[in-house]
Amino acid sequence: MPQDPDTPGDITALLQRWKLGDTGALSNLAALTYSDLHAIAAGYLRHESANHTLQATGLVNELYLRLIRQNNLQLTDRRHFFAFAAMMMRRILCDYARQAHTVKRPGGQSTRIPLHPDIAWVDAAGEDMFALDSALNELESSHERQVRVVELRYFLGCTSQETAELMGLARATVERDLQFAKTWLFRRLSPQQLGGN
Amino acid sequence: MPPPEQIEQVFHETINLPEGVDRAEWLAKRCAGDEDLLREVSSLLEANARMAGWEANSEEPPGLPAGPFGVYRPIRLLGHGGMSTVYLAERADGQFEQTVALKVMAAYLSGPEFLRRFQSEGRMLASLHHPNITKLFDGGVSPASEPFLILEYVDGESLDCYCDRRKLPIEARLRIFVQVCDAVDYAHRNLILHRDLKPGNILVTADGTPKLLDFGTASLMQADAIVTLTRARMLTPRYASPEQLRGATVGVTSDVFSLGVVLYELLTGAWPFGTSPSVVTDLRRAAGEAVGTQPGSAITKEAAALRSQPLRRLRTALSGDLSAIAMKSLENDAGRRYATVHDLAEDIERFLEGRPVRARPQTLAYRAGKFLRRRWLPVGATAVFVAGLGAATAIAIQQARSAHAEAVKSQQVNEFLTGILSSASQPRFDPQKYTVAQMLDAAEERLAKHSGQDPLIEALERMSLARSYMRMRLAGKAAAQLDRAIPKLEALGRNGDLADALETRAMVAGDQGRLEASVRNWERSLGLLQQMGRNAPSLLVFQAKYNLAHTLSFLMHTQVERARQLYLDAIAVARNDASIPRTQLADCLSDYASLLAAEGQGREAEALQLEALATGRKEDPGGLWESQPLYALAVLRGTQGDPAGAKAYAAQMVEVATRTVGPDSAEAAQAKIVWAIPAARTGELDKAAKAVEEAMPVIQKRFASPSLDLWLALRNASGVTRLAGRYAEAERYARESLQVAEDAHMGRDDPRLGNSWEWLGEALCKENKSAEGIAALQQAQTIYRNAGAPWATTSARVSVRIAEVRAKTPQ
Repeated sequence: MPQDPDTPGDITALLQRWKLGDTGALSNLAALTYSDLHAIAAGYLRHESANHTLQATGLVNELYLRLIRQNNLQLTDRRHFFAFAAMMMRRILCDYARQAHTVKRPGGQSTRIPLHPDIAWVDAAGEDMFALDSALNELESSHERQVRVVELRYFLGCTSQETAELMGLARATVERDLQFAKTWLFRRLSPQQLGGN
Repeated sequence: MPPPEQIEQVFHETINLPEGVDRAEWLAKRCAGDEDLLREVSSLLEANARMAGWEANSEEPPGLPAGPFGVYRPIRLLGHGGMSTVYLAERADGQFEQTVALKVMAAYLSGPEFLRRFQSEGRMLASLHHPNITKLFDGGVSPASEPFLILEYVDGESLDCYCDRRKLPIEARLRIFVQVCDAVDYAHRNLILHRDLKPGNILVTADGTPKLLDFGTASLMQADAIVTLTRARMLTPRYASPEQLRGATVGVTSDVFSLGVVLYELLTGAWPFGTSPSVVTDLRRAAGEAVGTQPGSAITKEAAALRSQPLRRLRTALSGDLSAIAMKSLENDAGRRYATVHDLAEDIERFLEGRPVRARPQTLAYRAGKFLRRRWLPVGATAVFVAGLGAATAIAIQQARSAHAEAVKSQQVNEFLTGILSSASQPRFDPQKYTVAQMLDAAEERLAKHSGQDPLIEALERMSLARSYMRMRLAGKAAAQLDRAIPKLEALGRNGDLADALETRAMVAGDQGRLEASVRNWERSLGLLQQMGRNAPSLLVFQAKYNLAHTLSFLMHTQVERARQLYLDAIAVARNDASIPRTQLADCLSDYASLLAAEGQGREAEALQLEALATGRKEDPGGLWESQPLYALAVLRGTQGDPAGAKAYAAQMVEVATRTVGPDSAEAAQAKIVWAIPAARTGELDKAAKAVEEAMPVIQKRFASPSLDLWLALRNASGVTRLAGRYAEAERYARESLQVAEDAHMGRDDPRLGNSWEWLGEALCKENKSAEGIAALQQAQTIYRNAGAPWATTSARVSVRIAEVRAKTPQ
């Protein structure tokens, strides 16, 4: 049955299908929410403080509330919601950085906005972001779990404990995964590629 | 390449080796000839070491900006804020030895919106003069185009550090906190919301004076609260209210919430919602799902030591009144928090003085306050409500009343102030520079100083002060003044003045949603007036009877007869005394007419509503007060199957609202929606649908969810769009109205809830979703059935509808 793409009920249905293992649902889901979220993300990055965790919160809030406003939405599976939100955040922030890079900002000088205090060497508003994105794609082929952990922790701003709960892992495992992923990413994004400093 | 798991494993093993072990040697042994593994892990370890080096080096201190910033130059960095950097600065010309705080807007925040906000911080601070708020000295733009502010430099520690380092006990902490509340309340009375209250923004000087800093996120109430918040979130999640996290419009109660978190932390050293904020807790809080831990359970031994008290004693201290105060400030529902910061401070003062606190669990008063304090529907609305037109808008009515009252009030406030000014001993008291609330406080202080004077004069002055506070909607302050005036008048045996004071007290209680207290005071006043016989001032008698009738009819169904008699008495009093304002008589007539309409006496009701209109028009023709009788008449016409007549009255409502408060006002929008239903019934489908389309955004912007205003508009919008054949929209509006009803925690048998279900059912049936439609109608029917006798016909009507839909639906 053809559906009106603006019906947010679709989001719910797609989230359900994705939960049940339909990977195609994920890309539909992304398509449905992408443009809104992108606009919101751009707004945050353009206007807001350097506290990135906060921006993610605001952004995900909007998505979450949009979902929760739908009638039959049971967020029984928070894990899927957060995993989805984290992926969306990554995609949006990377796209935004790419755009910001091509469109020169008025005033010329740019200020570094660290993506997350733990990986302060990645500038959320600069070229680092798409380098990071492709590095993550590369890492994903061999260390998929670590990439999910990175998304939840650094893109969405979950704490280690929450990341552990959402991933169904021990907290120590999350910490180890982060250390490994950070090291791997730092090596991959050689210092010359890192902006600033 | 070796398997990824192996690389990870060896990497972690190596990196976690104890100090002193030669890693390279250990690793070579561990890899045992696997060259690839050795190379990969070595390379990772090397990257890890470089990363550590990068992190260690990255903490370079940023240089000082060049400036100059007016006559000041920066000396050293004090800190970073969300949108600015603060430096210690001194005068560059060496004229005075004065150190100040220099606040420079962050470079990356270019753009007009931020500049505007930065400037507005300056403007707001400049308008605030309070010992606990940092002063603004100067501001400007540097040659490098950096906007800056020059502020009072506060040499102090953040509130939490100050208290912890001195191991201050609870009481000392509360005394500082109350001063912080005073400063915030002062800003609120000047219509400024802080919006980022946290210990870091409250510095305490060595002598224990707290100073409120950083109005960078503050906003003027109403003016731009709505505009700035959705997209521009400058908040500290730890202290942000759920509505702030949602990006919704915030009010005074949002600052109450933030202060609640500050208070909670001062008391317990812990955060009420878990270990620390994160995206997950923030979302739960935004959705209103998080409930704070009771302070008594959050306390630890370490926290007790920092409060110079044994753990057990502290736990006991934190589990009674203080817990109630903190938890009331932290309610998810803004309507259940303290209404003002002043109320919060007052409760803490009550606690410190050993008096009972006001924070208490939910009572009838809360529900009554939520739904009835605005007198949102006239009593008779039950019938009105179900009837054809589909109800409406007591809101407009209430606003009509308050707008009219406002005009009278402001005149009275002016008179009162002229009184203060003329008697004030300060000849240079400049009214331009002070807000009304400040002047009132000044008057109160003056009263307190001269309290040795004639008790009658003091009591009368307190009454007049109370009235002024009430007009400023500062109910708590008004009540405090009255509670001091009343015993004095009792002692003096001044029954007339006492009745007056009691009536004002009753109105204040009504404003606070404490309807039972309100009834008590009306009754007392009425008793006194009856003792006075012919000497009783007729305006007081009229007001007591009318308002008692009005309040009773809300409170207890069993008292309808008494309410009826009181209405009739009040009307008789006012008809015989032309000095009672005619618009008040009109309100009273209209209220009584609604009672009649509810009892099915439509003809009598209509005659009385017309009389109400004619009566009020003698005094204030075309005033917003007309909305109530016009609305009631529209409903009555609609009920009698005369949509054209209903439309004509509704059109007058639109006209009145447009003329008195403007075409873009919420009142005009509400009137348009009232108009849209009979318009749709008379075939003006497109115009009706368009009216709803135009009005809804105005209403949604003006009225927060949940509110009855929003509920009514949504429900009516559903009706209009259904009539216009836009069934999907009708369904959506009905669902939204249902959501608002649920969010407002309407009772399970609240007919309004039933009404939302009913209209949802009707919309669904039109969409040929018969099964869902019937289910919704059944929900409605159950609610109506449980709502008592007045709803029996409605319930029966819905039964018939269900049967009809069933009959039409193919099996």
